[in-house]
Amino acid sequence: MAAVSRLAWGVLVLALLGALTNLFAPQLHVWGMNVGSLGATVFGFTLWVGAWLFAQYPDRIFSPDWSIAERRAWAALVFILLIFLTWMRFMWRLASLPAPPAELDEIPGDHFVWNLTVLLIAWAVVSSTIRGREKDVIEADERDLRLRRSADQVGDWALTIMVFWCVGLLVRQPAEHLTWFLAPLIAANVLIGILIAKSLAEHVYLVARYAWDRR
Amino acid sequence: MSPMVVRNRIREQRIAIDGMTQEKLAKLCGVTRQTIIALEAGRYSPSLELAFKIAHALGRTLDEVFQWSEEK
Repeated sequence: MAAVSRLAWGVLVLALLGALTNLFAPQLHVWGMNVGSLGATVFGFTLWVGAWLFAQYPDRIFSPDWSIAERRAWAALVFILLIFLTWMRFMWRLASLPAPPAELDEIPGDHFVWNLTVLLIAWAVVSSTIRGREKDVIEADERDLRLRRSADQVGDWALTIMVFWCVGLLVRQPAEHLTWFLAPLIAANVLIGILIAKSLAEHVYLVARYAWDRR
Repeated sequence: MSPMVVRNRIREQRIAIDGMTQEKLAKLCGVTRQTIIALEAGRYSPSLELAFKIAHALGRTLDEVFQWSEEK
């Protein structure tokens, strides 16, 4: 594995650790240091370092045996995972409010919107640089499209399962929790989360299929 | 009766043409090298259009390159 590739994977692991720390320990203090804030800083820094690495060395990050579509699927998986973690952190904050927000102004969504915007821009940059500098490169052929269709079907199944799971969850909730779940802005955010999870399931399947085909 | 599978002789016929590379065949057929690798390993069954393109690129007929036979 090339040094650049090792560095990129290291940066990725750091970004995930930063995001997880920010998600699960936002108020934790160790040796007088706010671990959550440190995680957020590490996450932001590594995200841009990662995007820069992809922009500078698009052909050295991934193995030459990986097609453009497979590389894009991996990048999409990483970014969707980070978006999902960001969404979880946001829902965590919503759950800690004394009452569900009734209007958009009441949602503490500044960080969420900022993180989401940064992630989407970084994803767009990485996705466009993955193609490399080579001309006449085939970005996706019939095999890629066939795998994509299978992944879409897996995503549809995942969506169906999640919807039934949510219905089951709602049915078993006590009345006081049900009020929170059914508040319009909470329900809307849960639906957005389900769509992110569906996309995550699709991409997990897609990269697994590519890896399986290369075995 | 055993299930029928599509087999191919892409690899041996590609090598027979002055050692044509997977990359070159992929370019001639408008697919990625990874698809040629998957085809040669028998992990992917091509569309009819791609099968014709491969046979054409190798200068063979379709049934010289692809066979539909029982799974062993």
